[in-house]
Amino acid sequence: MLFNSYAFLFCFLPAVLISYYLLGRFRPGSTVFLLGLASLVFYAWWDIAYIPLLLISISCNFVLGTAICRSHSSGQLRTGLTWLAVCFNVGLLGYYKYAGFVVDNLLLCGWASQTLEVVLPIGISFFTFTQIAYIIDCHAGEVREYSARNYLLFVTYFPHLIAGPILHHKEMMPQFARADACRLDPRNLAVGASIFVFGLFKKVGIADHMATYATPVFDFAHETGAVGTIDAWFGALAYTLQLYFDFSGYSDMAIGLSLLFNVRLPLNFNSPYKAVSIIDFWKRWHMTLSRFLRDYVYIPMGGSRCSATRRYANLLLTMLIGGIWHGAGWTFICWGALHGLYLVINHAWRGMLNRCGINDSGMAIEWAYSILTFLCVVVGWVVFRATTLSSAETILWAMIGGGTTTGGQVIVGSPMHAALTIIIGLTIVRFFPNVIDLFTAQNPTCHPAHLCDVQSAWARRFAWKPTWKYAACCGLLLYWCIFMIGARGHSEFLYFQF
Amino acid sequence: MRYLITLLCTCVLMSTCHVVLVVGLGRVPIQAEYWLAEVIALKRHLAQNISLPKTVIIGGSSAFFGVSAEALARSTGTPVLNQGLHAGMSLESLLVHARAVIRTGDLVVMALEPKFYTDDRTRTPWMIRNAIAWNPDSGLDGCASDRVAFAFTVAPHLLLEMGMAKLGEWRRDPAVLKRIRARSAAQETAQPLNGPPVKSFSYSPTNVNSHGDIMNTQGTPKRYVGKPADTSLPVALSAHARSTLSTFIKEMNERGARLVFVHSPYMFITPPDPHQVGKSDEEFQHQVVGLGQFIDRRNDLLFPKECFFDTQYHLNHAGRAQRTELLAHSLRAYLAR
Repeated sequence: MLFNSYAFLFCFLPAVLISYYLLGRFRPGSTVFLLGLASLVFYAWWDIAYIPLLLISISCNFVLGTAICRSHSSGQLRTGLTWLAVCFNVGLLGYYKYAGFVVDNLLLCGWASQTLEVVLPIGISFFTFTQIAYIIDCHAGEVREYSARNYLLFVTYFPHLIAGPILHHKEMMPQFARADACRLDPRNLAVGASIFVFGLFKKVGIADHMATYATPVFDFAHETGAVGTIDAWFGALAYTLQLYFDFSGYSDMAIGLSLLFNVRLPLNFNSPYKAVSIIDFWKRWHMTLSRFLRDYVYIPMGGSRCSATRRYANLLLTMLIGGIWHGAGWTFICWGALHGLYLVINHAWRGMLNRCGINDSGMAIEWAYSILTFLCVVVGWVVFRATTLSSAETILWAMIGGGTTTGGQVIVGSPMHAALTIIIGLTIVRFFPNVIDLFTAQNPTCHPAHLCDVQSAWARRFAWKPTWKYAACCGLLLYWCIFMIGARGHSEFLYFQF
Repeated sequence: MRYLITLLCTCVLMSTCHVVLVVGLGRVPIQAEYWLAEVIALKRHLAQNISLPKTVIIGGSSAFFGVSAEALARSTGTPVLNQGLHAGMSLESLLVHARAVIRTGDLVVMALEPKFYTDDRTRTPWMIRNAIAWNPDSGLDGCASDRVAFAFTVAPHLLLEMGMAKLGEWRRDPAVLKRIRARSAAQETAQPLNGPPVKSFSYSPTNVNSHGDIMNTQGTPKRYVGKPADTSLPVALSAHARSTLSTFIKEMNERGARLVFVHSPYMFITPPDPHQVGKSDEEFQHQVVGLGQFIDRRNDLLFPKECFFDTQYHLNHAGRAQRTELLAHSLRAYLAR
């Protein structure tokens, strides 16, 4: 079930919301069970065949996690169980997500005789990473034992199950265990509904529109191996915007939905295209994945408390794992490696400036850094989106003027209209406050407020208030989205495939 | 709670206004492909004046551009009507117009594009736009529930466009009046569409010959947007397409018309693996067992990009000559059986 489908908007969400508060009134202890059950229905909507795998994964991790927590006395047993659990998770992910890719490559080398067709269970990357973090924390003694019911909900909680944010048990479990979680809070309902509507608009109104410009270019480059310079730029910039609005729209919807149930999710985006360096970009883009990679991959490898060479190697490896996490394909591996390289260069540059005592502050330099960062990110997205490395090369080559024609042929509709749309999109992501900025005063996420940007004058001016004007605007946006979904059909979120 | 109630009330109020306006405005001369309405009317007129029994080629624009009914008539010695229309239409809509031109004893050649076999009743923005503008075969003319369901497929910006067009109609805006004239001409099925024959390509009924073929498709225009579909992929026949085709075939049998299926041409840039294409073709033909018989093979209908006109569906003059010859050969072989 998609958040932007009529089935979700008109049936599932109202039914679950009403049941949750009704049950909360009469049997508050059962609301966690209700949400868990609703989440399983939500997941089974795609294919009920995925449910056993999800339940097996949850059961094994819960049993192993509990066993790790209880094995205080035996360090060896504890480590052994942790390794077993991590291998189980990595093995599950490896088989369902990467086995086909590995066999395809072996086939190319002549070391395999036939392809392996494995259906990728939706959201497997998200629920596996969530549980690996849990297991490692069990080993570190940072987990107190939780009830099976709460653990089931922690993993399957429907607002985040399919495309994140990647949750941390420390943030979520106390919220699920709270006695007043099912008490109707009009403010949370109002804030949650408004954030959800903004997220829906980002997806339906902006991301899906950008897709009409991006998709033909990438498809054309893949099919024909040639694309014009203008088309290549249109495609790359449109995809840059599409991905941001699609994924951040999903994250906003998840935050809004969760708040309807009085549960605060972590912040996942903080205006990433305003970043002034790649380091800054990764503090703002898919923040929960960055946190996972930092805490459970980079730091255990030694992090930055080692030699510069080792630190750079750790960074590269961490980003490579981040790339592979996104999908089984050479484009994702290259994208991860590219961002690893960006980070290494960024850290080396900072180190050099520090050693030489050069001050790189100032508006002009910040702008230059910002533009350079954005261009690097766009190049990365081309590799990320392209069907093959060769089509990525086609587009990148065209972007630097090596295209076969001047372009303007592949873009659907008028190129002027496309250019205007992209400029408006870039202006929004670069200069406007993001959705969560507008709601900072309401604490819609479980992130501390200081992680958000310092509120700009715009954000303060347009900050959410429970007024009839704001409600009417959100109502208008919701109407617009509902009819756009009816006209265009509901499209999948880009991060579903990961 | 007052906030939530305001939010929901605004949404409900706007939605109600939207539905009422769409249903109330009805058919409005918004920008759409009126030339297609005129072509449909022209072909209906041509069908009335063609001797019987005839061969009718049914399909989207792939048949319109890809078959020369004139050459096929010469080759087979029977009158032929090219009833190729537009691949953007729904299968139901395409067959409604086909029914109007088929008579007892006709041979119906179903040259459908793959998208018609996968039709799942989804209304595309193209269909909705043309339904509002001229196509009577849409939910806009159905019962109240059909109309409300149709209103939900109209995007808010399209509703705005409908309003502007209605305003233009009242203010007698020349552009809007031109659309209304085109729509009226299309409704006059008994009248041939007069106009000087054109010398260059245009999407217009004046660029259609007396057999229903589009003309002036020499070469490949500059603004070529063709992207080949993967010819090796199997086509999955949808349940809706199966039932729609079954009903149509049954009707044709009752009417005493014979019916065969042929493939539509496929574009390639690098030649595909013939074994894979054959396998996909075989898979597809297994699905249509019980519906009808294919008298050609997908492998025979792979054409290089040079044979196409302005999209991957539209063969140019040279491509059409080749494809027509192949079709004539298949038809002769079928008729000789």
